[in-house]
Amino acid sequence: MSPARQLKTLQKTDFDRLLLWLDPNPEHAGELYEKIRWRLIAILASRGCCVPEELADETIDRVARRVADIEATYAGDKSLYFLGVMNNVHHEYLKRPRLSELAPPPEDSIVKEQTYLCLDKCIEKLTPHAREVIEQYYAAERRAKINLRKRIATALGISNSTLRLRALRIRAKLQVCIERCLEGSQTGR
Amino acid sequence: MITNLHQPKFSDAAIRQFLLGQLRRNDRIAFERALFCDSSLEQRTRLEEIALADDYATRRLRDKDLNAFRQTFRFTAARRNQIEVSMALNECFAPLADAHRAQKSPMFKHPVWRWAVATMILIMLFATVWLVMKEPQIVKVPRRFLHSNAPVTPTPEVAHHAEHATEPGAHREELPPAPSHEAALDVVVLDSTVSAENAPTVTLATLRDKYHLQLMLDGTSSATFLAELLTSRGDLIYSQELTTAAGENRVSFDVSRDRLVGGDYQVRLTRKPDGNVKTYYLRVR
Repeated sequence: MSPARQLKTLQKTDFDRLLLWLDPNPEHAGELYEKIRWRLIAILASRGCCVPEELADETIDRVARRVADIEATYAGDKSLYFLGVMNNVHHEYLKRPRLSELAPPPEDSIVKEQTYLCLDKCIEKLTPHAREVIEQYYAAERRAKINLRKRIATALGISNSTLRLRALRIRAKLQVCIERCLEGSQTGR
Repeated sequence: MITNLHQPKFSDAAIRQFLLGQLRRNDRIAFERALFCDSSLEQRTRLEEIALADDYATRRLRDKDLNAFRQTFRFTAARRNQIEVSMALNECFAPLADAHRAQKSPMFKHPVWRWAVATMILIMLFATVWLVMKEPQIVKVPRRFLHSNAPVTPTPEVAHHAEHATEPGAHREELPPAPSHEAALDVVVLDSTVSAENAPTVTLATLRDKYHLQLMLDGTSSATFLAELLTSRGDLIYSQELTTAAGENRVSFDVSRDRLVGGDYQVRLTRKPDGNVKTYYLRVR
């Protein structure tokens, strides 16, 4: 059975137990779950894994199945338990015969178009100051961009690194907004 | 299970190396553990992930990083979407010209090519300077062309001719200075189809005492004409009766320099037998 199939068979009771084990507050547990999943994917991707999302889900699946056995005795940072299991999952993955190296899927023109629409919507939702920072931050190319960013930082009375951090934080919010917008448009399709 | 972790401080460069899979094994293991324990490191890694997508979208990644990026970064849906958003942001807010230029001339992306082109330009510049210093007569070439005999053409133009040129259009190495005022005339070809706005311009030269106006004709039959030099307002300055021989498609009308000052002029050419009138325009500066 492929890891994806195993993931699909994860029982809801196991998943609920996992969330409860992470945090009694369902909202906090959900946030923690998302953070752990993101970390697993980031680590697997940095190790050159072509299917990081699949292995991250397989890791979560395994942990969820074991929670019933360990929850009474486990001590320490729970998220680190995922790291240990992920190492095993990745190790097994490396031992599997490779059919061929997967290439990233080709660009989807509909998604691309939708991304543009969502970007417009999400930029509209930013505060005027945030919008200005983003517009100016992305307003030039290469060398010109570096010079422009210096000028923006000077105008705002902040250092280049602070400007970068501000712009990236706004950009991260934009990203979340766009992802939600895209999810909405995909369910609406 | 490890519960008491050492949490090293990781620079932005180290975070980027982690994302590109470039950290050495020990550093990677330390980073992975820190990522699970240090939420600020996680936040910084998320932001660096976006910065990396931005750099990829704007083609600012070096070759080594670009290869690593292709091998490790693009295999998650979220990151592919980040790249998509980065590209959209750049297309929305950055001028397209630069990106298109980079696409059209990929060789200039590589610093080696830039240096090669710059060196080639410098070599050409030095070679030109050296050649001019060694062969100073080269710089006279444009003047030769200015003084050479221009063939008479039916289009309106100002041509400088030697009166006794043996063959029209023949190239001569160097014109000797004009021996007398009579020897040098300015030939101006005028066409009646050219409007006053597009009239040829003649610059008054101190050494010329005559201007030789060639008035283009429709036919080539022999005829007698009355040529009148008028100001732009129509005041008569000078007139002369002219005759053409059969086979000539133009008639010559000589005007002495002292009749001309800077301004717009017209030449009215009346064909005697039938009274047909043509007007030619001329500017003098």
